[in-house]
Amino acid sequence: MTSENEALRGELLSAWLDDLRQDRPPRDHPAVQMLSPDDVAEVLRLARWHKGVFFPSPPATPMADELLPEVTGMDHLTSLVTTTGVFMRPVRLVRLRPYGGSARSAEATTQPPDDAALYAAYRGSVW
Amino acid sequence: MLPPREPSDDAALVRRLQTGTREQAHAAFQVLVERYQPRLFLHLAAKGLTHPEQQDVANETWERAWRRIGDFEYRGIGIFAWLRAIANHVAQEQFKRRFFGTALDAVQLELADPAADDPEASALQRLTVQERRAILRQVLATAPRDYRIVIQAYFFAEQTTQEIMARHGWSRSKVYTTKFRALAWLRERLIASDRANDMPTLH
Repeated sequence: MTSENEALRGELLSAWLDDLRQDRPPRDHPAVQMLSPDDVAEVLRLARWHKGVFFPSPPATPMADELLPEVTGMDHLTSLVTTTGVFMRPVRLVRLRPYGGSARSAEATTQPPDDAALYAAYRGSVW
Repeated sequence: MLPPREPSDDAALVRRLQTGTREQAHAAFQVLVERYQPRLFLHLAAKGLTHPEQQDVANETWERAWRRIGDFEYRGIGIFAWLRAIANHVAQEQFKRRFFGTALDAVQLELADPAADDPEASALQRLTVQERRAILRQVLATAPRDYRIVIQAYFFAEQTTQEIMARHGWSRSKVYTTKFRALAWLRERLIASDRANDMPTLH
């Protein structure tokens, strides 16, 4: 291998390492036409190895991208929580929305069952 | 009515893809993508592909997997090995097409990556970037002087070629030649340490 050839490989390596570190695909470069395909492949292999080991791009994860706002929103809500009641109130609001009305009216009109009603329900069940 | 249960293992998934109705095959393929997409991206990132390249290669990989799933023979090896092989092939093809054109498709360029023949990431790749840099500093102590200059300039000082030339009185050609040799030496040194399981320890 001539020293000129080695210098060309080094030049191409420098250019591609710069691209990869900036998360850009390797650019077209005049040295590609002056080197053999095997030499070019060797340069790319070396550049990608250093990129993969020392400067890896974060994996492209579309699912993670989609989930990110939801997770961030949940974290935000959690940070606001002081009691279980405070945490459950937005959940109740969401559940009640399709039926109209408000959480306040639902809370005012819905009474918990008393013991007698519970016993009657129990007696009337299949058990 | 509850939706039909998705196959929990790869073998059942492949069976549904190959012998199920079109709807069942579509559903099974969606499960396959959801199951292996994150791992595929991790593999491509470890190969040193940029973010846009990862997207391109992954899209093409899934398209080919859908078209060729009929030929896949499940022999107890996870389907991810098959997907990874397709992805590696796609990455090579895209490189050849871009830089050499289709006329050179027959050229067998082996654009291997450090994890190509290793189902799991190597010990080196399992380390954090900070840990790898710490190891790099240790390995540098054994490097020839010229190599040490360019490696330090590249990884730590982030000096340009012109800056190295000015600082050390080197020609441009010497900088490029030394850089190629030094980075090739570094890769071989780290891979050899990794394989021998004698990775320099972190202080």
